[in-house]
Amino acid sequence: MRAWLAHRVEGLPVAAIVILVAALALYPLAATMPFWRHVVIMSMLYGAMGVAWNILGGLAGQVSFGHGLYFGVGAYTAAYCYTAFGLSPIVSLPMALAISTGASVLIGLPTFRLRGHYFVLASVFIMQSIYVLVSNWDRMGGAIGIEYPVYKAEGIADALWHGQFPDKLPYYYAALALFLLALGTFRAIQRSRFGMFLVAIREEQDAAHSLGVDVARYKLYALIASAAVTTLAGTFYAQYVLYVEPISTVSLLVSLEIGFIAILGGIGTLWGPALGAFVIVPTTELLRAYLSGRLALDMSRLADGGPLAWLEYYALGGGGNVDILVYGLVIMLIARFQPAGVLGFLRRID
Amino acid sequence: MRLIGITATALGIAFAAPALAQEEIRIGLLYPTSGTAAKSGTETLEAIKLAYDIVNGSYDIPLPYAKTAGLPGRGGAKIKLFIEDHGGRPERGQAIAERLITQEKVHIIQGAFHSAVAAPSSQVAEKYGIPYVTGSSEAPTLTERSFKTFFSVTPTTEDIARDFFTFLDDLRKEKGVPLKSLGVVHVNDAWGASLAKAAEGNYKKYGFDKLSMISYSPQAADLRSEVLKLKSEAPDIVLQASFDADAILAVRTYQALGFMPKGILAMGASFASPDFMKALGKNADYAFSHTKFNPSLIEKRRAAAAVNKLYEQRAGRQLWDAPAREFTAALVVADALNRAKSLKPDDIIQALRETNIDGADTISPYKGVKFNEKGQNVLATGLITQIQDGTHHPVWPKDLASKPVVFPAPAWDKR
Repeated sequence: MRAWLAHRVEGLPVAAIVILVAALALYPLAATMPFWRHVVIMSMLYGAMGVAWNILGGLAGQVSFGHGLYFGVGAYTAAYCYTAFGLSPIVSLPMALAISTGASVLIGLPTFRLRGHYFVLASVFIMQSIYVLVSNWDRMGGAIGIEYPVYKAEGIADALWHGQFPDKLPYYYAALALFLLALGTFRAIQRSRFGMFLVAIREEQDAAHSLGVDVARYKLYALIASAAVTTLAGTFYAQYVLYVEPISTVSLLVSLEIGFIAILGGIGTLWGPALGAFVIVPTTELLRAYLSGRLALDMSRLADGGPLAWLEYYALGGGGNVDILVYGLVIMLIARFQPAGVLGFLRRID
Repeated sequence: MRLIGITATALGIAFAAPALAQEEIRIGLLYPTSGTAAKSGTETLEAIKLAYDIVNGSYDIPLPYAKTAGLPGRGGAKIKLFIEDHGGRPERGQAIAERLITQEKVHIIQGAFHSAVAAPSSQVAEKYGIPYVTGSSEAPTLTERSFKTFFSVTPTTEDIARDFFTFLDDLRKEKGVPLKSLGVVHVNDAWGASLAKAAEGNYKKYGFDKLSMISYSPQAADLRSEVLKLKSEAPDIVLQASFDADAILAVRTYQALGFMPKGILAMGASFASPDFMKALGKNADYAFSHTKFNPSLIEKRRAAAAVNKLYEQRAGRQLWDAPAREFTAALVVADALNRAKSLKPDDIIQALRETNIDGADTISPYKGVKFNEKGQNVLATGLITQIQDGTHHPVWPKDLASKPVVFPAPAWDKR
């Protein structure tokens, strides 16, 4: 038992993992305010997506800034099936996964012929096209999106069927399950033959190919797995926010956020993206909640403050964007001093 | 001794009463101060803050609650603002709304500029039973939900289309010109498409029997084939939803190809930019625009000039559409808070429901503020202006008009 607890999973002792998971599971019992639960729910959601992104971006080395597409497939399928046909997310989820797999194949087959920067560019291009498409798609609510009707569930079975809960607690544990599932999937792939093929492709694609690794096929498998977890996250998002619109789902913005979390956390590692999400998401949410609104916009001082007041005001981005300035600074610091991500930084301290 | 005791008690009550009445009113403001709409959002917020400053302080402005410090109906109670930035993201808006309600214990929320943020954040408010007022989110779907707690002071895209058609109907009667066919020219985005949809749903009801639709991409560099198609259908009236550069291109192409409808009506600000007038000179004349604020209102609404001046001092520019609309919404909120029996959510909602404000007591062109059972302001109307000699002049509704309307527009070569 003791030996097992001391066993390390990518540098982290099993005992520490058990404690961390237990802490996450117990957290909502201590933090009863919805906002504090929300911050951790979003961290786990983005953590799951960062880890999923890392299967393709980290293990296989295929950097994609188009994962918002799979997130959107999950979110829109759930929202559309529920509002148009009254279908439970339990029913629409397999459909979403099928669509996501289909999309992975359609996109993966042509784009995996591209290398390096060209693959990144292709993913950005596809993402933008899909965004324009969805924004003009009337059935999907166009730019306005799809809003769930307010539903008051009667009993647990009913709430589960509709995927809507009056309280944040069920959402919290669903997000935790998703987060652990993403980590488990990544770990399983990482330790498998398949995972080794992916690393071989990342390190030297031509060499891997000459040794008989079916490069195109394994890249595609990596995309399908990565996309599937992202789609799950999308369905969760739709049921959680009960509102789906293009900018916060099928956009380049969301795709970049997913990629950044993995890259800043520590690309290619198991814990990096998870850690990245827990650093970046709370930082943004808290800065926004406690800085942006507070410091924002005391334009009234401009009138008699002279040129200095104007300078100060606009240097602070109109007063309202302090959170983004600090966020940008954090990113610059990590990129400059710690290219291996937050995880690399912690390793160095260790 | 006893007498002193009684006096002391009486005095105590006398002092305690106003102290009790001095409640603090907490209002959550949910607007974008980051993201793509950061600038507009910031300027909108500034107008709202000005509105509540006017309520809290004592200003010599002919507006309700301006002269008295605080809300007179609540014993001079002051309003405290909780300003939050949602950056245009629905899930953030939703989380912040929930935080404002559960942690800051706000009595009412005002938001959100983006309709896409107003939708999920007002769902949270509905869940907790906290009133939510918008002055700028104009998607008609918001009030179609029939929420108990949601109130929209602004006209929706449907209302804007209704304004267009009512105006045309008035023209038809006044000038004795038959108007039978309608053309809609719009950029193919959510905003343009929503106007097209509203026109499509309404044209028959307002006596038109033919509709031609022309849509083009926002990046269009050439509109000749589109205009030729339109010319062959020869609509009496053109409704137009364009941005800056394409509005200029469209009118130039109309002139070059000799397409001259009896009137062109533009939605939003595209025909209102100084560039439009500069680029087109005389050819810009006689075009109509729909707006919800125009500097000419400064003469027509008794408080607008003073408010505009205060706003300019703070924001460095004149009031415009969205800030002016949210300013009006803030005064609606203050009015309801002043009349509410208590600060319990249900009492505030009841007071909002009983709102009845005359248009003259606002700085907006609205006929007034009065909510229907869905929470939509039924008196929210816009303003239609016509360019005459290079300036926009309100020509409709009649009581806000500063010049008589010129219709039909003279041909391109007779200007």
